Amino acid sequence: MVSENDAHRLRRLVFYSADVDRINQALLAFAKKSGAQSVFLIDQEGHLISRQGFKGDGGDGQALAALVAGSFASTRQVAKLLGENDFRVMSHQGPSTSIHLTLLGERTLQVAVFPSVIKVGMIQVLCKELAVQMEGILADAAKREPEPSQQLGGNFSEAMKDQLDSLFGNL
Amino acid sequence: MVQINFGQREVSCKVVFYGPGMSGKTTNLEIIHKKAPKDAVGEMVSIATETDRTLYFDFLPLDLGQVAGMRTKFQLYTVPGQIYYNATRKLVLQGVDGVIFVADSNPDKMAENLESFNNLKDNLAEMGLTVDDVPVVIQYNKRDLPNALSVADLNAQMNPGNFPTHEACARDGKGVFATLKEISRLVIEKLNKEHAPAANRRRTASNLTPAQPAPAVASATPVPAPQALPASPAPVAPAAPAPPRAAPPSAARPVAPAPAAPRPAMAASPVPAGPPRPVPPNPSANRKPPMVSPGNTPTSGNPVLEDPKNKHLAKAKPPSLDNRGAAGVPPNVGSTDPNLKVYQDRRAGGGGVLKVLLLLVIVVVVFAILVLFVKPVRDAVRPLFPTGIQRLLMDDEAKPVGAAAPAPVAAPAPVASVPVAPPAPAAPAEAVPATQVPAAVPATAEPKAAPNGQ
Repeated sequence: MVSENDAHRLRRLVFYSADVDRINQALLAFAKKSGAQSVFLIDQEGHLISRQGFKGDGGDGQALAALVAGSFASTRQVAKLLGENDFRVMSHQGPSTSIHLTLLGERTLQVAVFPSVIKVGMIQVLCKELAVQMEGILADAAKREPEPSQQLGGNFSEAMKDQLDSLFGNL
Repeated sequence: MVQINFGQREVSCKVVFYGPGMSGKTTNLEIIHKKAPKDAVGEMVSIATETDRTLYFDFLPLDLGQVAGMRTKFQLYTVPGQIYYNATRKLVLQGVDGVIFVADSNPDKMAENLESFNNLKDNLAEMGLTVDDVPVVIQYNKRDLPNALSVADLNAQMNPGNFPTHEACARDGKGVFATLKEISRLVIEKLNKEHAPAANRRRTASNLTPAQPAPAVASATPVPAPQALPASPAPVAPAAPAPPRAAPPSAARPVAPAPAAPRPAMAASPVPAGPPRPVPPNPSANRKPPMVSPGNTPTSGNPVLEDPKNKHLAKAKPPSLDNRGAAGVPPNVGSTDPNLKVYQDRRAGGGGVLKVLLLLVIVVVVFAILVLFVKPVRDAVRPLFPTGIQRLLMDDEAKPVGAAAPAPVAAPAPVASVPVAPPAPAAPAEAVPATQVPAAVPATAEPKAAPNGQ
């Protein structure tokens, strides 16, 4: 039987340092090569996995991740109405900034934010390259054995209670 | 689903405020945004209608800081409460780690509360979950209403499942953070059970295989079997040694769960909210199978890109359109394909019309150049044109030549003809300088006077 921990890892919900390092390197190389302002890897539920780039677009990225995930989720329903499983690529063009989304597998999104002066076709080609690379990294991550040094401490729950009390105790 | 990122040392959880329309879900979020420490909350995002009704969701990131070496974040979402937004409610509910159900204490809203709670169950069921799989806290909001239902009545109708409850007046901020703390604690407890090191997990392993026939792990747990859950005071976290609502000694929670005695009675009473909370023999059986989904394997539909040796070459110089089929390359021509123009030309009729037009334009241009600048050609074709164009060609010819030639040389014969009629075609060259003569010769002079004068 697959444990809950393994199940989460297989669903790309647990990421270990080695995989995150590889993801970061790939994202950074993409940003440098393409001239993108920033590039994100997010979960379809809106969790931010990693973020690389040259400018501080979208604040800390959490709101952007949540909104992009929401946008993708609603677009997936549109796709289903049209008889598709999902739209694997989405693009939004603005006067100065554009965004290109690529679905990796079933639940991970690759988001490139780039200035509109860059040709969409070039970003599309480079995003496709990155997607192939990222699929490989995520497939490796799904096979990685849990590392004993990277586990939640047994006192995590207790520490959380203390933290909640200190933050919201007087509210 | 909680995301644990050991690379970034982060834990991220998703909590959804659920409930009927106008029950105060967005108000909860606004109060958290307003009153929580500024370094703990991020930017609040709201996708709302012009009348401030939630259209898709509200979102508030909450950063609880470092907890046991991991930066812990909560993503707080609200759903649109109105009945007809169920599709968007489902989307927001995807991957939820904890639910705060915001119920309206107004007696007139009880039917909507129940409908919304049942809707929550239905939507979770579509994701393969039940309310037992996800921590749920019920918040009885609007307790300041004069006609608010009593907590006992609300519990009797809405809470046969014995979920933790809190009274609140979200508009004033009362009970908002108590509810948030409760759900956060439950979510983290569940997370800790699932992801604790093996030694810890063994102690709490009943959440994994509660109904399996007496493994050694299950026998080690001090918790009763799940079948006994309805009578248990700790239904939400069956594996915890202490019930979650009994654990905090603080008396601040106004709706501390009632003693165990009245709850079973409520659960057993006929409640319009539906049947008592079902206790499946194996809660994990209702989940989607925790296996690798097909989508997790790399999928690349383009065979050109699959071979790393050829991918750059293939992109820079793909095979011609005629060889696509033989090379195994899809015949689709994308916007970056160098052969796009050829492809478009072929689709537009093979390009034959375009070529003929282009050829025609070239012929016309060359002909015009010859006529204008090559005298023998001009002479040869002049008779072919109408009279007006013939005159035009003469004028064009006369200007440059007349300026360079000496005026009086060939004047005599044509001078007389100038004012009368155009020169005869046989002597065009002599006629040209003649046009200059009248300017030099007085208008009254006789035709023969000029040569005589010289």
